[in-house]
Amino acid sequence: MVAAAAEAARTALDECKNPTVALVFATHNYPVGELREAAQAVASALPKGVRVVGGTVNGLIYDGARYDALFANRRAVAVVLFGGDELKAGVGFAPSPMGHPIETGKDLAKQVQEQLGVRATGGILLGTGLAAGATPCDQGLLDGIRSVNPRLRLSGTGLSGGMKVTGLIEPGFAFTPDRVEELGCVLVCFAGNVDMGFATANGMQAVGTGGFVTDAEGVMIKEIDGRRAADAILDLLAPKDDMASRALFEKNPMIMSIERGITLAAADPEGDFYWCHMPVIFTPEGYALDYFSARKGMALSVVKIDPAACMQAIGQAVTMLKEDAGSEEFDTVIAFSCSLRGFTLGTEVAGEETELRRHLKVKHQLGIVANGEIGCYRHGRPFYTGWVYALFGLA
Amino acid sequence: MGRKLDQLILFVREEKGPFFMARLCLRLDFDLSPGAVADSPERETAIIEACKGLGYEVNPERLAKRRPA
Repeated sequence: MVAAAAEAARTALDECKNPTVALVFATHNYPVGELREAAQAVASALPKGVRVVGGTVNGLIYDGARYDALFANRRAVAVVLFGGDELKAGVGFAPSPMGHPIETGKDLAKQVQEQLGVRATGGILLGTGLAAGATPCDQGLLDGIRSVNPRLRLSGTGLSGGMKVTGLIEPGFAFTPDRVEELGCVLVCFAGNVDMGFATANGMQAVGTGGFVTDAEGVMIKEIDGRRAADAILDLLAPKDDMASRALFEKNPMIMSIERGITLAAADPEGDFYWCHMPVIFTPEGYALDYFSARKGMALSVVKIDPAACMQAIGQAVTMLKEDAGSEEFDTVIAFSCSLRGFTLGTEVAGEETELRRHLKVKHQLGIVANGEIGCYRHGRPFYTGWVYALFGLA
Repeated sequence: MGRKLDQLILFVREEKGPFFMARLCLRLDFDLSPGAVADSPERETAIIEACKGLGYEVNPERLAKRRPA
């Protein structure tokens, strides 16, 4: 990993001669013990003073190849350099935000602001994602960041340490040449004379009657339409005439939702887009864990994702990205593609980058196989969400 | 605990990745974490059959190469 990281840094330097920040992504199947040394190797390969930060992710998509650690156990490391005369970049780094995400978000934003000397207009957040389990942090991080810089737009992903046999995500690692932090967070923000674009799409389509959340607390949906959430969700999502599948749904609604390409989601008031509210597990009380905290009174639709709609989402995201940045051409685009899209698309997932380039003229492109995404829909503010294709672009 | 079984589990994990293991685990009534359960031919068969049900055939020759004689 160390040699690969150094090689990636040298290659990136050929195309960005005056970097200020290096963002390193490593698939989670490298030994954690090598992360610091890899960051040090990146720093050594770059001009002195370049800030090096990174994190572990589910996979990388680059130059037509997909290095997916979650679905295929492949490994890769990527280095993205930001710099040049027109772009100012600042970095925030924090240890685990568990228990105090808003404070951590504020801290990250203040670190960035102090380095930049001005308010950043856009950036990338690497948070805890789904690894935070039943105490999600990333929306709290966003709330904290926004309390310091209310108009900051962000895309990003949760960092990942792999997947347990239950389907739950292992904690990821954020790192610098000096520190490796389990569940650590990274904020990279930009200011200057550049146009930035943000976009989110997923291809979810409503397919049937859903229900209203009639009782919820935090991440737990307790009731839907006045019924125990587990019972209501099973009736909405599981096949009625296949008791074996229904039993599997009851045992692990998240894995079965992914397998069947069906889940619950809330319609965005502005457009043809659904925010995912997938039931992750059912508790003994019959509650449903929803990482994205459906609120009491929220209307949830039954939505499906099929391979065709999943792929079309890339074109939708690109259209949004161009509108958002006010540009047809981009220097750099980073795509945060939910790892679940890999299951939906199957072998076609290898074509995500080709599909992006079919719609977009871009010099440098990197895809991240994501774990709980940060995304902005139609010029809106960033939200913590899932099962989406979120883009960040520098024009 | 479960040395032969662990080798099979690790083999499948390396071949198919963690998400496949989660799908596999859902279809079995024992824990697939390494070291969690003792060796048994029934469990080994259950894993191989569940893999088959999910469209993946365990290759016995490749598996044998991972296992010490």
